Amino acid sequence: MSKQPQTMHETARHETIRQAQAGSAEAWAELYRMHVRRVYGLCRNLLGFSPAAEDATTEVFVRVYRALKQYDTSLPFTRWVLSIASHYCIDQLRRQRKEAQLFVTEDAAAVEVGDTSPSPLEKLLANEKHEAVRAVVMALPSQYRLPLVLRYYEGLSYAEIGRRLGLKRSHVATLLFRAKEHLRQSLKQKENRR
Amino acid sequence: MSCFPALTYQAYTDGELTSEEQAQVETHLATCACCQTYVAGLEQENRLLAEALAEVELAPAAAARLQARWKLAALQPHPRHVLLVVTLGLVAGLGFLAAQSVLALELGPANWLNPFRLDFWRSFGFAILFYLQSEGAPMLRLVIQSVATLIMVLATLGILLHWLRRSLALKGILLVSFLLLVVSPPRAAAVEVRKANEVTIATTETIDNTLIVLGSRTVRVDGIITGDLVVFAQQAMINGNVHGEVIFFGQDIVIRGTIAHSAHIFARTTSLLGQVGGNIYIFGQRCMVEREGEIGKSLLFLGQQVYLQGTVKHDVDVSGQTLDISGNVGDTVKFAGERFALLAPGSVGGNLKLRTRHKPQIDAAAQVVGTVDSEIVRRRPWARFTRPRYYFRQALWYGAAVVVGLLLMFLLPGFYQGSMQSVGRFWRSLGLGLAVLVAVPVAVVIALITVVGIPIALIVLALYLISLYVAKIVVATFVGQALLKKSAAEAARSIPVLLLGLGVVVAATQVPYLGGWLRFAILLLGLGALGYQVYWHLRSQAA
Repeated sequence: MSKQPQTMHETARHETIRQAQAGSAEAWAELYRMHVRRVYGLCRNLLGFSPAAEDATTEVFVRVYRALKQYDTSLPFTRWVLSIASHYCIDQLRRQRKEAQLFVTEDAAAVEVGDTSPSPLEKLLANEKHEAVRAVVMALPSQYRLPLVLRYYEGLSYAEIGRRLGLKRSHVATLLFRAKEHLRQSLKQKENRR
Repeated sequence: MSCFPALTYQAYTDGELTSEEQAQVETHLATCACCQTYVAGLEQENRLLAEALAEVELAPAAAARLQARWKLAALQPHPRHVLLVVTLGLVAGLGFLAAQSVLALELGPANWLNPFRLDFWRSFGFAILFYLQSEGAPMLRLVIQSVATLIMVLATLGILLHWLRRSLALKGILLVSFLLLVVSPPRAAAVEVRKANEVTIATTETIDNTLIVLGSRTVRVDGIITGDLVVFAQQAMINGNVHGEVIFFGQDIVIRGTIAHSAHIFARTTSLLGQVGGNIYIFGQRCMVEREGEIGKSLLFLGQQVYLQGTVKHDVDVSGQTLDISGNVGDTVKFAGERFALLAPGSVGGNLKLRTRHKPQIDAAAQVVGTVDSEIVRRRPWARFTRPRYYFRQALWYGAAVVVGLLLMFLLPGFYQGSMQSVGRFWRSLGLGLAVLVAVPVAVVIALITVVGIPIALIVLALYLISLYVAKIVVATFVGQALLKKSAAEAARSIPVLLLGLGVVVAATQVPYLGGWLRFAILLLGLGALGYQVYWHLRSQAA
């Protein structure tokens, strides 16, 4: 019973995309309206600075608009749009630090992940306002922030993140692990300061 | 079985384990309460993290700003299209120049083709003014030639900038060196400045660089100047030698000596009894080239009267009231004005092209080697409609305007549409147009005087001249839109709108008596609309 509306929704969306591809301004406006928040959110999470995120959002939609004809329905549209956005943002970040590498090459095996499992901070996270959590994420170095955002905002797999960032899958796993450690530490410090 | 490392649990919660690994972890979890709690915590953590990241607070103001910016950005041309047009421009420009040199068409002075010489820009400005004043006939070739060169240079610059867009430093170096090349004087970097009521360079004196004389009553050069001579004075007499160029602003100038290169003269009367090696450009009332006077290249004159008794080795291009020739001209003579006379023992080595009010007087004893092409422009406004050449010219005009219109449509769609819509604000555009028409040249002259402002002045001047041309196209599109009753967005993409609008504008401006006024009104309207668009774009860019 729940299958039917889903399919209808999908069909309607495909129709909108097809119309936008054919040059309908209204269909395009609809697509824009549907995705602007997601794209803006991704840009903000990746770039961490709102004017830059606005610039990036504009640019991403220009790119989506120009590439619209090349879009084929094999990939879900939202994922396609988000992948354009993250490609663009990662590219921007790479350009910003041409001299410094975005990712410090780190031997995955050297990361010691012993049995002394650090406790997840689910309680702390629950206590914090979303905004505060985001602030901590934004403050992370980009080599930790990027995998985190790609995983938990864009929902990419380790392998996809690795491809996007030019890293090995195992490296992505360690970076995510480290990122969370940093996150936990910062949140704990924040909590203690209260 | 011992507990798994934390990294494995992370991979487990992220769904990154193989099914086999997953089964192993699950078996362990079933027996280990400690790990169970840990994994539950991780899962909760992931969910909260995703929630925190997913929350997007997009204030309505920011959303509106994004929408507006996106619309503006979407209207920008695709970089690939820009590159394509720029490349085509470059190829066309190069092709044009190559064709010119291969076909050995009249190239005029060699300096002409070098935009890195100040000479080029001066000649270019002169040609444009000349063109505007005499309605095109005599100087069209020169203008086209210089425009092609200009396009070529700008296109090269454009392509380089496009390639270098990633490196701001290289871009800066390129722009600065280009501007320096454009504005740098070709010779003699050393400059000597003199200010006095009377300035005399004695026969025995040699000035080994460029001399600038400011605000004098009389200037007398009997000696030698190895560089250029720039004079702002009431009267100037050049009896000695100037090895460079001469630029004179003042009332009267008499040249008895020699000037090795070109002379640019803005004066009431000019008398030439000596030699000028290059071209002589004159804006003024009267010019007399006496029997002993000689011009090594061409004479270009914009003013009232020219009496030519001496020799001009190349062309004579005059736009004025009268031209009397009793001397020798090596090549073509072109004249647009009221009266023309070629008196014995005068001779013209090339063709004679005349557009005069009165029947030209050509002595039987005088000699014209080439053809005589004389057109009498009567005050009968209907007469021109009977000549096929008139229709050919209008068609050419129309075709050129269509091409420019199409370029605008594809390259600057947003600007094009916006300007077209601005025309609809009739009184605003009219008023603003008048202001732009008058104020821009004044601003350009002021910027030119400051020397530092020369590059900006030249850029603004170029934009201004382009706008003068584009104005009618914008108005034509508006007319087309109104006639075909299309929405602004449709009209801005519609070629029929452009074709029809331009057709109507061409026809309307050809109506005798009324046409001139219409042309002026269209110019103001278009200029105002363009001016408003530029202002609007600058403002939204700043916002």
